[in-house]
Amino acid sequence: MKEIFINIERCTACKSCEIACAVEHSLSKELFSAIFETPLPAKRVHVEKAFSFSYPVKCMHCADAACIAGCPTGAMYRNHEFGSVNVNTDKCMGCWMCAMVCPFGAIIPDYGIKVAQKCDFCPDRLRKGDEPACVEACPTNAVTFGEVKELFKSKRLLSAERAAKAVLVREDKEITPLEMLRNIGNI
Amino acid sequence: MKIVIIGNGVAALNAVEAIREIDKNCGITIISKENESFYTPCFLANYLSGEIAKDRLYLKNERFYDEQRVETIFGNAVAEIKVEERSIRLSDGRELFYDTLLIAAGSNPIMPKLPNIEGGGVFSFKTMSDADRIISNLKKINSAVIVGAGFIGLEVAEAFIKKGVGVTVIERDNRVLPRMLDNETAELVTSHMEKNGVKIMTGKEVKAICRKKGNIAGIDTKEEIIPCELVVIAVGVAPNLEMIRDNSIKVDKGIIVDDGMRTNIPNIYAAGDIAEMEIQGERKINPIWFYAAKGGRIAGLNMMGLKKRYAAPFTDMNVVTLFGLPVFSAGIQRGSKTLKHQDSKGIKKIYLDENECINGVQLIKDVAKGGLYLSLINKRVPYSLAGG
Repeated sequence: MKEIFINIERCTACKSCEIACAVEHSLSKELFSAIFETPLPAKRVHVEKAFSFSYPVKCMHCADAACIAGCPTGAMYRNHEFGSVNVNTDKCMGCWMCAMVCPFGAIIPDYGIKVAQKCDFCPDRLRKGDEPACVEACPTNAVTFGEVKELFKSKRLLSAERAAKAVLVREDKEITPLEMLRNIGNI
Repeated sequence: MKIVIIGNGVAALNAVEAIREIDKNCGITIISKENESFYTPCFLANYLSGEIAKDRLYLKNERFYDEQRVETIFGNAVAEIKVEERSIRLSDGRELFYDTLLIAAGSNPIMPKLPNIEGGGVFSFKTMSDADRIISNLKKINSAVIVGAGFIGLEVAEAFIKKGVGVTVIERDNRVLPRMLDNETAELVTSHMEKNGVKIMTGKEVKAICRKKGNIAGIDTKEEIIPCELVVIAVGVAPNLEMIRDNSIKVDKGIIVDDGMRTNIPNIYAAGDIAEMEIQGERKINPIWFYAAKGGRIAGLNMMGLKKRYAAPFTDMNVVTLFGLPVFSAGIQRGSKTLKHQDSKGIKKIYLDENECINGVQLIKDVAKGGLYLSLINKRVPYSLAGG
């Protein structure tokens, strides 16, 4: 099962993900016509400031999702095709119980039509074999899409590489400690 | 193994789904005193007002029970649980044996002992049949009184206004939504309700119901008589303990359970509005959908031999929308420091304790971040670290 990963160190708060998300959830799915739609298409990811970092806040599609337990209409459900948490807008009655229990603030209430909106994992794109819109739009790879196993593997490879390079750098006596640190940082 | 579940609400259904994840074959029997498939009670006021049709309330149909191979005994209350015999006696006299029992019988509306409360024209508002009975009486009347300004009382008031019935809400406490809000935010909700035509009287005790030739004539408070033709009692709910007749199951206000939804009897579990959770000496009933769903699931898994525990504390919380105005509350609305923020998006009010941790949060209008605050309350994160 593929998931979206967020690397906070890489986010530059460019908000490309927000725009791509809103466009994907517009009627036309085209930026230039989407901006003329009423109501304006809503984004389901919000880049928020956290100390000196920025972070794209979105639904984490929790394994034990509080919003599914909290939904008294059966509108919030697990999509087993992609493992995502989705909302059936025909069943949703806008009671905001999901917003009450979501620990990430990832539910976006549409108070006008009384329907909860949230990240839906871009099912249309996934069925075509594409990545979710926010992932495709992210220019720094702060948001990536893949198998959890692969993510762990790449993290292990990265730390192995860093350890190996640290050893190589130390054996090079010419280098100063500061340069050594810089070199590790470049890896 | 033979499992019997008393109740057909959200706790019972979550337990069934949890049990079937582990064992597809064990016998499950659900007993309910109501004669309905599983429905949501959270939108009964929207049904009362005519905003939604009745079929939108049903979350499962008969097919669900067949598919999950659950035997149903509907329209039949449990008269007694015989712990020694491992059996239950139904109101029609039938006796049923169980290996494991889940008591998820929910709660009953509290009916205060007021003079003249017995008889027609006085209704509670908890079940589908309550709503149906009020609907069948609404055409005949022009004015109603609701006793209790909790969220059910206010939701019913909104429904009555939408049906063209004049309505007065009488609350014993000094404010509306007393379990959710403080005086300041309650005042906002009061003026919002009044703007929409609801008359609200707080700090008033109801002394008696007045009748003329059996029909409702009014409500007698200490100061005055408020004329009306129909009364809805919405002063809260209490666990439905009518089937607990012997002393072997430990009971206080509800059935005492631990954080695995186990009662003091090894093969008996309880979940939902009827369960009173005891953790580290502290007891609490929290009769809302979310805790019932969670508790039902945990009970179901533990009945199958797993060892699941309730992770989060039982924080008070609720969210209600009144005439289009969402109101959210979590935690305790008291503290050594108060923070308030108001802008076009709404009002946010936060109570902090002496360690700068969040005690309680009230949100009016924009409630999207409610869950975020709830998790800060549960995790005792100092507010300064949460960043505001």
